[in-house]
Amino acid sequence: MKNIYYLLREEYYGQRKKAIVLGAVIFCIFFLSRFVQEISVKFGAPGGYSYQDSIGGYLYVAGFIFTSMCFARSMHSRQGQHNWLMMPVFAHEKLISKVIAYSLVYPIGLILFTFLSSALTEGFMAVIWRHTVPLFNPIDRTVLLMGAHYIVFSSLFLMGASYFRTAHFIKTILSILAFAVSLGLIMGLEVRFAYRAYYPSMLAGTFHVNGQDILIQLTQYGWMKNWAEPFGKILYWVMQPLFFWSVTYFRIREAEAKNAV
Amino acid sequence: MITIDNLTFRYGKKPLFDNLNLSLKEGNIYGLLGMNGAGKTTLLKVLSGQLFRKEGDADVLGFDPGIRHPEMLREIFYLPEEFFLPRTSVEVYLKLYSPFYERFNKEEFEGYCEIFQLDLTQKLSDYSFGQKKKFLLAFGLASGTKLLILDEPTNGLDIPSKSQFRKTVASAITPERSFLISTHQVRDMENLIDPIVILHQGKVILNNTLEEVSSRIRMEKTLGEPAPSESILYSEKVPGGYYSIRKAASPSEESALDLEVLFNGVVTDPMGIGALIGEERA
Repeated sequence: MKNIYYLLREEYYGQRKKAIVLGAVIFCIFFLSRFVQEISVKFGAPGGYSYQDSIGGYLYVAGFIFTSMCFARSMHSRQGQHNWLMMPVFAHEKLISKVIAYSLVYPIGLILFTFLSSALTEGFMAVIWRHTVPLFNPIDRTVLLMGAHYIVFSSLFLMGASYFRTAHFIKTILSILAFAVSLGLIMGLEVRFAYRAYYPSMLAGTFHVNGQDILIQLTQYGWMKNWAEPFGKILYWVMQPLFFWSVTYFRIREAEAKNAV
Repeated sequence: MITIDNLTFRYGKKPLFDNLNLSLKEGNIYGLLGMNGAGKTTLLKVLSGQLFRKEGDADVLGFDPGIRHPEMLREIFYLPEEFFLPRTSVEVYLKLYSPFYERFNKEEFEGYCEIFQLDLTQKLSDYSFGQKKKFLLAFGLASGTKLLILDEPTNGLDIPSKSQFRKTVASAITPERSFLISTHQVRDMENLIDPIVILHQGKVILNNTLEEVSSRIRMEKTLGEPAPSESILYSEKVPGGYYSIRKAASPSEESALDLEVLFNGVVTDPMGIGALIGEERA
């Protein structure tokens, strides 16, 4: 626990400038967009502004970029790798500190910061325009669910961060796309064979499979209904992050100095 | 403290070490010498767990270095030739990194910094390369680790600093600690390193104290080229004459050693001079 605290403290000192810049950018965007929106309302444009809609971009895009780069200064840096490898801590402590920093502290911090920014912005709007909109609600179910999805997906970007030495974010995205396309092709072929009776020819384009319909149909069956949905949830919420964190752990353990040479 | 048996290491298919054996004891300042590409830095990285050996056994402070156990890393401070210091103040650096070393002594650190004339109010990024190196050296010495690994420590140091470095390192050694200094600058290390370890063509061809060396060979400087004889093992032209190495007539016959000439002689004739010096060990 002591080592994780020391690692988190080091992470904080290394990332605090980036965090301040991100915070300033978010606040400026909130303030300017609200300011412009109030002006446009004065000129007859329809009103309505929701802070809830804006969190996704900062949470996912900025968060995944940050997470993708979390080993850039250490494991993959020719300069920083020496200190990182020689740090007297276990590999799992290095992993846990990254998970805490990028998958827990970041989303929680961002959600709280968004709430504070919205409060500050609306304070200014009340003074300037004498009109406000509802503040960002950090405990809204949608926001909490987004945070939970973020934790799951950040594990994938953490693995990408540990595997790719350069262009971590882009390579992770491309890998996800390649995996999705490959899976789509395999599933397409499987469906083509399984439902070959419905195809009049190889190039027939009339057959339509709706994934949602299939899922609904499958869940009509008793045994499917009982375990498919819970299994899917466990797979998504538990197994997926555990798998990616485990792979990241082994990558940290096997990291060698020559990787940066 | 360190035992390596039949170590094999290769980059890709190119072998660097082939059945390398090495034994280092506590309480010594070892000088690791070798030609460019001999594998000095690689050996240091294998010992510190930064590179994994392919074959053989290694024991560093009672641990397998490949596991990188924190208990082992806590007892090693490694100052590399190329290093990185974050853009922080000295105070923040100490706050972030000294807790990893249980025996870190801040007073000792400040004392070493004073010897090295480092301004502790300056930001680390404002230090020159030599000052950064001295800062890390002060940190390493004050960390109280059992093993201090220094890779080319005098590169980038000015002349007074080299002298300070020798004095400081010599004063910091204790019976429980060992320093392993890899260097090309043997002149900078004279009167500091003892024993000498010479790495050549994938093997340790010499691992002896200077006393052992001087009891087996004799070095002479002559104006003219020494006449070839059976007792002359090696000779080379140096400014102002010739240096020659010959077999000592008796163990009590001692002579001043020139590390550069010794190194040249041993790598030129590892089976002759190297084997002669190391015969007792073998």
